[in-house]
Amino acid sequence: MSFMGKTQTVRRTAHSGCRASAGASSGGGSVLTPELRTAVEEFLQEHKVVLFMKGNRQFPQCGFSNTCVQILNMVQVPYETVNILENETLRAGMKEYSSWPTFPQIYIDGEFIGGCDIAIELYQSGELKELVEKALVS
Amino acid sequence: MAASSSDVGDGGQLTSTMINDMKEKIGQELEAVSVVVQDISGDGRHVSIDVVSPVFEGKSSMNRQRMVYKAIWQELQGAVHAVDAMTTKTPTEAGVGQQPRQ
Repeated sequence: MSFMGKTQTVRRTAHSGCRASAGASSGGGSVLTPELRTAVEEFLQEHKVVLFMKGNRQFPQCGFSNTCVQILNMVQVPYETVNILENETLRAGMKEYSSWPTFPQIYIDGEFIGGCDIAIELYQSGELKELVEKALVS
Repeated sequence: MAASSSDVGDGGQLTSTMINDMKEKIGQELEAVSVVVQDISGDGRHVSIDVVSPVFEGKSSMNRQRMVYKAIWQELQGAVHAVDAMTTKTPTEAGVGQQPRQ
């Protein structure tokens, strides 16, 4: 099952089951259920470079997402994109997962690296190229 | 019937109450030497945050910002794009002493 397919299933579970509040930073319930967290972690293990964005690489839906696509294209690394506009549960869940309130979000070797500003910094310093090269051989 | 405009935002906007809460939470949770949360546009839609704290030592720019976001997660719901700018410095980087202001 595709990652989006899995998260759609998790969404149904999340809405029908209880909403655990453990780990939530705000006082309300958490969207990041153990099932969703596991699905995300598996996906991040499978793909070394992942961009959670608005839209996709052919049709980015926001300027910051587009910038990340362009940067990753220039680094010439294979990467996956996930369109968080297609899935509200995933959109909220990824914010909790990363403790980062906005998109785009770049993950390298399973770790959250940052958003557009940080991608630009890391690209300009050469660090981004280093990070992806290290990830590809790990 | 409507809540006072100083207490409730219409979404996408930080109220003065929220801004004060943010200052306090950041100050406490990050053991900050100084916290400035400034409403740049005057309507709560463009806010800058400047934090100086020793807990930032050794942490990347992203991780420092993440610590700040965590502290004010509640206020960010619905108003995240109001935070236009953020700086996160250690006391050494900011050129100030280490004692938290009372």
